[in-house]
Amino acid sequence: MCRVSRDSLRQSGWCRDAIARFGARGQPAAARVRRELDVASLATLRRLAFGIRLWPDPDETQIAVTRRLLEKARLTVPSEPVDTEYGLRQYRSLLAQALIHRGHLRDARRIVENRFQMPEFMTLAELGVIPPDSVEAVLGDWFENPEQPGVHLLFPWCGGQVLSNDGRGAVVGRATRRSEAATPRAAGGIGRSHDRRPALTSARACGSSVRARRPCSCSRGHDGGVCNAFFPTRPVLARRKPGMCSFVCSRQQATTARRCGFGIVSTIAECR
Amino acid sequence: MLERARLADRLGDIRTAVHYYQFVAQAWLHADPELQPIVAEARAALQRLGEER
Repeated sequence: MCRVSRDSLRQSGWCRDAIARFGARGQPAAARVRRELDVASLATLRRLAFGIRLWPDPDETQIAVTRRLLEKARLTVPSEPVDTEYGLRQYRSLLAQALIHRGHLRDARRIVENRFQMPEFMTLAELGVIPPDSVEAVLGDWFENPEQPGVHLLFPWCGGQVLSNDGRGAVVGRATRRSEAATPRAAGGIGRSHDRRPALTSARACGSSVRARRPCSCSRGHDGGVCNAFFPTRPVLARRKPGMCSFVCSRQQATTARRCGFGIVSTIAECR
Repeated sequence: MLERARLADRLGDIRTAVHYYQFVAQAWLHADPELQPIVAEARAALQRLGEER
């Protein structure tokens, strides 16, 4: 086994035993690994997948383990807590991470598809695997369907970054104007006759218009505007999704600091 | 990792550079064709640094 692999194993010491069963003295034998994976429990596969996710072995063992983990999770009895959509999403994400780590970006794209809720969507977009046109399409879809689940709070920020890096700030601006144009109809109830969207959906569009200003500010280089736009949502996020709030703030902090060359006032601690 | 390797290489920290170049070369051994130039760069650097050692 190569030196780098041994270093990686030392860092993830708790899975040393599991790895040792795959043959630690030499490179893991593919057939032996397959046999072990066939009989491994979901919990073992999960621990193993997390433990070896940065392992650079030539057999790409982490991909085999994570694929098996996803397959097994899909077949698990629904009563088990791990067999939820959240669990599957987590495993799908883990597989995408493994594929990206090993440079199989096209395969990762097939796993991620257009699930912008997955952090790997933006990773692939930043790597150029998902072209800006596709990011724009998904972003547009988000504007049209503002009732999509909670992680979309992150998406405008990330989408704005990707598009602005590509010199497509105007795209975000157009999307913002479109979203804002929908707002008066929602607020005043004076929608056109062909607008058959439910009132609830239209009302939520008001929120999306506010959120849409963030990527717009970002794409125009108005980092102060982006920071300010996040402040109103922070108390709501902190109350409903504390973990998400921390993530949003850390991302916001890192990006703004990078772009402006200075630290911003907000900290993760403020969210708690 | 590649950036770390390049940086260590420029700073003359051969041991660190070799470590990270090895990581890149191994991790992306079977990577997509678009990434193979990076693997080639890492291998070339490893060969060069091996000769310097």
